[in-house]
Amino acid sequence: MNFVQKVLARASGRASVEPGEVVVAEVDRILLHDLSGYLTARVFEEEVGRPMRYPDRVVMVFDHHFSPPTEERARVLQENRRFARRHGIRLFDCGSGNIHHVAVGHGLVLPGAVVVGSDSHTPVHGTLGAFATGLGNYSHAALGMPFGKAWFRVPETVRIELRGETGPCVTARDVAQWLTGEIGEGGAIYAALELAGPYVEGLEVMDRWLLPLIAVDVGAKSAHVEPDARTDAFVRAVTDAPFEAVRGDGDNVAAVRRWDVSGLPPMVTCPPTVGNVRPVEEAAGAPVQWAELGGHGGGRIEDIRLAASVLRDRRVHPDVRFNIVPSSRAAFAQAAREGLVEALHEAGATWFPPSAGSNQAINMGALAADETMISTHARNFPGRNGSPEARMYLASALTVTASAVAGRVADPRELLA
Amino acid sequence: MSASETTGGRCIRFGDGVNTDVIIPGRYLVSIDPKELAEHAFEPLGPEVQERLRAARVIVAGRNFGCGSAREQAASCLVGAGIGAVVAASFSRVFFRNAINTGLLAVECPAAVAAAGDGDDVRVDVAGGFVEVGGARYPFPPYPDSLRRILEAGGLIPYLRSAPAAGRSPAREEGATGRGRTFAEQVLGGLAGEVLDVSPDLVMSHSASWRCIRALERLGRDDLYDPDRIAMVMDHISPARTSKTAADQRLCREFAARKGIRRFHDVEAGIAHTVLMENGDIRPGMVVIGTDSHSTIYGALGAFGTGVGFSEVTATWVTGSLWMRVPASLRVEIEGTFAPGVTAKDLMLRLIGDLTADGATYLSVEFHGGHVRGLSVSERMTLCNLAMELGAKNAYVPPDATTREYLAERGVPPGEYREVHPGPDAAYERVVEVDAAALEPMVSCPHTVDTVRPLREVAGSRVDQVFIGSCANAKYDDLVEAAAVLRGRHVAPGVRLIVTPASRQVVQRIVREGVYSALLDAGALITNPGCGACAGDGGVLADGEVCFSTANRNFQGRMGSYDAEIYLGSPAAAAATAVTGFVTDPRELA
Repeated sequence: MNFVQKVLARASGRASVEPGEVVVAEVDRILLHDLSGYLTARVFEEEVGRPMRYPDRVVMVFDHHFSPPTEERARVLQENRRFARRHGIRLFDCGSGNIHHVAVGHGLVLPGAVVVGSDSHTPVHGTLGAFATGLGNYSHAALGMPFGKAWFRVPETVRIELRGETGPCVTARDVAQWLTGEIGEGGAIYAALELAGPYVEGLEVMDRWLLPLIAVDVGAKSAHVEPDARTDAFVRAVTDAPFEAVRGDGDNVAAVRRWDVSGLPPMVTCPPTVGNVRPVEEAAGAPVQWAELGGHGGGRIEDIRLAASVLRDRRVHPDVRFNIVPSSRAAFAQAAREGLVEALHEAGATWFPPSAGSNQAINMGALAADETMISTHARNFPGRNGSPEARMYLASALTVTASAVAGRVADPRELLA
Repeated sequence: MSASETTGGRCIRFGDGVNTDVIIPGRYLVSIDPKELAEHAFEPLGPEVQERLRAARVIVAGRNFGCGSAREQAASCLVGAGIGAVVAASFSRVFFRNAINTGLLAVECPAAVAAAGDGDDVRVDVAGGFVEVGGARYPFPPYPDSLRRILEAGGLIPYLRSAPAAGRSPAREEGATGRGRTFAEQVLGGLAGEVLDVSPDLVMSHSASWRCIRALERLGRDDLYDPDRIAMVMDHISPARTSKTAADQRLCREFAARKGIRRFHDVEAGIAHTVLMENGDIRPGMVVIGTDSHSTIYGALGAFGTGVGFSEVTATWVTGSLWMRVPASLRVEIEGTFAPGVTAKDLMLRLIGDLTADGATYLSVEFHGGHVRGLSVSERMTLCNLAMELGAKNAYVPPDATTREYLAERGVPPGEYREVHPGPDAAYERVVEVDAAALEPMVSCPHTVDTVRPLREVAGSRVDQVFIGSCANAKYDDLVEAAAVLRGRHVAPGVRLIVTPASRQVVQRIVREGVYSALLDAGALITNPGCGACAGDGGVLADGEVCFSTANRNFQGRMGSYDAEIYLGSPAAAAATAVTGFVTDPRELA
């Protein structure tokens, strides 16, 4: 059996399951954010009306708001807090960080687990060797909360094997964006992506993270990296909870796709969709007024360090506002300890509370019609950040920071290599 | 509506202290259209009051009508609602100005107020100088000619449009020192009560700048009197969360670049007042106007600072001058030393409680005495900032070695400014003495700033949120004060602590000195610098929630729900309250 079969077979109490079968599996973790959590809670209480079976499996993180901007939003958060208290579920309030970073940082995702959530980027937890996918609110309300279960059609597995070594200024984020373009939006519909090969194995866990993150953007149901010693060490550093790592037997792989990442340039995802991925030189020169480190694909301590490496002895361009949104309190505190909060502030960046940052412009990040932002966020769909005519480029922390310095989309190799 | 005619009709009657947040809540300030604003006028008081407002032509109110913000929309929304005149026992000075500047008659006539009942027919005859209620006539002092001309034109912008192109207005009379003159009399160059054309040294506009630019377009003008006298700071909403705000901010950015306005500070800079003072832009003896009522804060450096509406700022951009009535002065003499745990905030809250929210309406408030001489510039800022909540037109602390040192650190040597000190025989309308040693921690209770009680009397009240921010108390010293309480402690479970540093410079210093980390470790949510929750940018409260804040206003609906409550106190008290989750005397955690 492959990785997904093994995880789902065990979670559904069966000896084996086959791709295409529908199984009802135990879920180990339900991750809700402030927006989806509100909807889920209402359906659960108003329409389902059963007790919460396993409150300890449910986690809510307020990340889309770092502080409610309107009375209606304040009420949504208040309702969420009350819901969490009523049912005894764990709540991370505003300023804790991005939902997925908070979950892994607190040891709430374990190898071999089944993790579901209403955020479409929930498959990122496959980084730790979990089976993770995004589900709708009804699924959580009707099955997850009252029964601790969810139904899944067992996906086909597509193995993505990456080898080679990337050149200067080319990070796992560049590889992930490039891969999105190679597979294409909708190029892996309903598949489970197994990210493998020497390039992936050679990455630190939080760099691997950027690869399963693209699952939803290519239409996949889930994505994972088979757990190894690095995974084990990562998880052990954040929790003592017992877990049983799962690795596939190498069989039942519907397709294998192989790429060599050597020689890739830094990549930029251009407007208007996540599949419009180009080498940085094709996008370079476009003026930007906003740059942001943050979101699912940025704001890690690694990104903050990369930004600091670019801004050493440099300053943010006077026409650019450069927002830094740490992915978690831990990343923020670590950045402060390393002197990076001070260094980046003095270079002209502005720090924001750990959160989803400009994602969907709830607290920040609305653009005027003729404005452009380059960011580490996961999506660039028109209208997601203010005016539908505004432009959003996506890139690595290095390229985002180099662009913040240049005032235009810029190749970091021009500054660093 | 021309003010030369009789204006009147059915009246709606209000009591004392109707504030600007009740007249038009901050959340609607994105609009400058009087009709659109009118739909939300008096919304916090409910639909029944709004219905009566729409049926009325005249507002009759008690003391201190329009207290609070400098928002001009508080007057224009009433125009939009069909109100032609407000007859009050007294007005907050900024509201009075804004009324005139939007063509709304504002008449101070306590006798008419006493005579009028809700729904009565009330008529105002400007030429005749009386208010008519039930056949009886009640006289009011005539408007100075300069104001009548503005009213007759229908407001300041139409007035300027029709007025002959303004030449350069004469510079203020310099060196008008005199043994018998107050600070305000000297700096403005006239005697209390006189109405003068004054040429400000600096004209500040904050997030309202886009409204000024639009007003300039309506005026059909593109020439500025002097771009070097203009400062713009994008502080109230930073950064944008709607494309409308993003476009407004972009408009300001491009306008500043096109016009060569050097003192343009973008969304990352922080609160206008703090930023300008830190940059050495505010100096003793200057006259500064700003689109913010708390512009009184500039008195901390011995400058004359006062808040005006955005039309007035626009007009001053073009003409370089504006009318001002020279205020009479209130002298506050403070002696003694604070007991541990007592701060400048507590002093001001006590003063506001004692004198009430209109205790210094239209007055220049001067702070003197041995205690004041010992205060830091940061503490002086807190005094002058909160003087606004007494209704003051401006506030003042005599410049001294502390002032000079503050300015020198910002590259401003004494040769670059002229200190103005009141003469020894200056006449004060009132003198108030304060014994600083006798003070204790104080709080303002919901829903007015002058509902002041000793903290101990409300200790134990539950809070949901603590906000450490605003131009009153988010300076470096304030955050150090809060961190001293929070270090080694943690915010109580279920309580949110939001810290919004006043400026980038404040952030830089607290980061360097470890205060930032101490706040983070204690569980604070630290936002980017700016006005933050005080101006409704985040930190909004839901129904029934309670916030303890270091800001300067606690009006109903100021931070979200009309059904939420706000307490105001010092940073130390805020920090102590965050630790316990209940209003707490900081001395208990010392």
